[in-house]
Amino acid sequence: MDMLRAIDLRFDYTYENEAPQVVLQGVDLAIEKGSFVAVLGHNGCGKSTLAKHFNALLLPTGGQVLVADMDTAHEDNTYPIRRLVGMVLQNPDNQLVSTIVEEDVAFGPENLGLPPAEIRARVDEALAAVDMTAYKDHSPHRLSGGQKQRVAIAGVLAMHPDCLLLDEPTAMLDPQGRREVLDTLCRLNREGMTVVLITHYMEEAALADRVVVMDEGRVVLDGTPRQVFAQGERLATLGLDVPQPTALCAALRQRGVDIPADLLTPEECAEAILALIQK
Amino acid sequence: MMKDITLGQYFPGNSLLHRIDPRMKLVLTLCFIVLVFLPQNWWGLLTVGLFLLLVIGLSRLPLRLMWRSTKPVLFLVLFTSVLNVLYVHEGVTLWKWGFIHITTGGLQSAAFIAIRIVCLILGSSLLTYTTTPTALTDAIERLLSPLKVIKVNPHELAMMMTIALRFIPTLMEETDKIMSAQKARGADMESGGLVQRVKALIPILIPLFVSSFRRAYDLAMAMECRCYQGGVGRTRMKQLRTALRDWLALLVYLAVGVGIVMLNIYFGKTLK
Amino acid sequence: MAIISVDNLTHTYGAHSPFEKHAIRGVTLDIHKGELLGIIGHTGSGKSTFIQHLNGLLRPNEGRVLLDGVDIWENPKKIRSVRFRVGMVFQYPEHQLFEDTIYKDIAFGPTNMGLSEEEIDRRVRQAAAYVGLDESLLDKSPFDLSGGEKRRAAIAGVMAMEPEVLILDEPTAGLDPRGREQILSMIQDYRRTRGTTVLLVTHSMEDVARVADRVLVMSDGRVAMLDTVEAVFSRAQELEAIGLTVPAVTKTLMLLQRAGVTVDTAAYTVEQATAQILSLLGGDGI
Repeated sequence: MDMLRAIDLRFDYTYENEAPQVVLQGVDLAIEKGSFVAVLGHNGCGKSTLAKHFNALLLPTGGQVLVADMDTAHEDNTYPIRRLVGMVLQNPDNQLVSTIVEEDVAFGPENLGLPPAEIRARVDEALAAVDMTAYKDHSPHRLSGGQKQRVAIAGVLAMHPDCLLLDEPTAMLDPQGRREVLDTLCRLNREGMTVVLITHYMEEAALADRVVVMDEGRVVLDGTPRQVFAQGERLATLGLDVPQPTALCAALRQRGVDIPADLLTPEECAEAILALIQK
Repeated sequence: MMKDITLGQYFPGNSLLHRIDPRMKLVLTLCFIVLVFLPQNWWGLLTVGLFLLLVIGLSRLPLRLMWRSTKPVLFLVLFTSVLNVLYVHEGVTLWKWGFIHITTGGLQSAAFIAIRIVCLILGSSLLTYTTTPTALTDAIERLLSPLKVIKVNPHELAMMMTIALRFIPTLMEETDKIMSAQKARGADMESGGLVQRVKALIPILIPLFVSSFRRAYDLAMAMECRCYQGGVGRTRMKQLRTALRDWLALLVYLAVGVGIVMLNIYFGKTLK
Repeated sequence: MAIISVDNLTHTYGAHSPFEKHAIRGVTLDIHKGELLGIIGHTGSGKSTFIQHLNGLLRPNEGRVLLDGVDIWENPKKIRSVRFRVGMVFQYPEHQLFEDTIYKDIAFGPTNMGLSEEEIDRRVRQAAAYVGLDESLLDKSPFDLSGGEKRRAAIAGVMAMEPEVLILDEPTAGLDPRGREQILSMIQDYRRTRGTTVLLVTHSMEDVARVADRVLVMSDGRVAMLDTVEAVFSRAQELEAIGLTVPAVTKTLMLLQRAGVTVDTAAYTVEQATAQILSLLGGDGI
């Protein structure tokens, strides 16, 4: 089943007295339930705008967006869609509402009008899922960036969504924080959560099971990380790079070494080189 | 460092005082303020003082916290006391020198006012020490809910308070950063006349406003994503329930009040 | 020759309070004139506190910072002149833009220095050129620019003070790959043309590997390593022990070494690693 689906999605806007800005020009994309999809593209390629459509924060000016077969254009669907698709933003500071971690996590379920005991259970479960139970009584501003972002994820999880949509959640974090967030996402995905991750880090995209590359408001590459990163030159023209081990393989291939073009990690790369040496 | 500012002064604990329903605590604090102003003689004030000590004991808060909240108002206490000493001329004159005229009445009323102010400060800081800011906003929201009748929305008020509490430390940190950055570009904030100093604030205030708007925009979006639609249909995880102890506490406060009034009648009015 | 000498620098936040925290302790080192020094360390390692001492934004509790052999706090009233000589670009510098045009914002620093109009004009235009901002953008409002352009405009604001030492705190944070690339090559060009000493604080080992001459590794408020890039990355295991990573190519070579292959793990760029592996394969692969 498709969790998210964009059909010939177009979006443009016009500021007063200015030429219309076309952001999305015909995006066709279907994201399966349970998958882990990374969305890449340089700034201004339309990936954030696309994400906002999946959450009914923006409505298409052309085409259609379906979330679990619900059309985002129907007003009645707005809140059911937002409950199903949880969104995490880039700046961890700007999305936490409350002065206490557990009360922040409770914010979403409270808006859903759930009974107090149910909210309590969901908050505890969500904090455990991101490994932040020990900080439930803390004030968010004392937490590290990675911890804040995990609290933001918990706040979304407590609404029991089917899908997590993350718009550059690691852009403002240090490597430690990035690892924490990525580990959390990978674990949630293994447990069945659909994850859509917008990122500028190729190493993060390599962890997904599908990579979608956008440019000029269109999907230009779509495939497994191996398929996508094997096209290093194409990516470079799109303003993106490839994971370093992949770049190493590409450089070796250019010099005539017979090494696969689709290796992503240092481990794979070292293994392939060893195999070559032993041959 | 600005980062170390703790907002609200909540001191975690599990004492009787911590456990009283925040709404009731708010009401009790108001009651206490009335209690402080009731006594008309030393016996009444003594009762208030002893009662306060009892409550502080029950809160199990470290005594240094009491000192911390009194310290900032010491000047005020001193100032009003001195004024009282100088301007109240009643009873026996103890000392006279030029316009300075010290009387027993003056000293008494100075002591009386000083004790009153200290009791007021301690009594109300007990509320903030034993109640989290969120519980407090919650309590205000619910106590004010009758105002819905006159179109005041207590939920929005409480939400604003919560967001302010949440973002004040963040903005403090941000101010710190922007100040350092502008100093690094040679901004001079320590010298010059008034006009220059006000002008020197522009490079700090404008970025701060811009970033506040950006944050507000992000936050509004994040709240919408989390299905926020105002107070309608919203439930709360933490329920406020008044227990027997809350009503007993109220009863105790009322009893103290009645006691003080009786002391007033019995001993008469000896103080203002 | 050392342009900045740091002598036994110690900084404690909230001294004598229950929150007392040693941010840095006993840091002693020399920064050479004209070098590009990469500074790495995880959050809380003290690197931010350290760099803020170099231009006198923080005053040491103990120890001294010498700029060209003179203690920067010798005359506290003159500390502003130190800030003109040691320029500092903070994290997310675009958040500090405040003037109504880019031109005026870049001119803020030079104006504070009390320079003549012509000199300010020359510097603004030159700094804009260094960061690759088109002249036509100078009259625009900072808020009409793209994220990457704003960042470059803010960096130009510090470059226009023509400091002898330029410190950049994570100048590529939050940018897309193209934006990161632009900033890094811009820094390299700037340094090549002006010969300015540059300190680059970053979390990205790949960035350090690409542009730095020497690397300072900070951990727990102390200097953990200070050496050439090769020497630092060859101590990959120690780096990992203090919670830092090495560039992925270095990691690849380490794995090969662990498998018994004789390689030099000091290689840290794709080119270096390619050369090594080619020589390993001894032309077999070709």
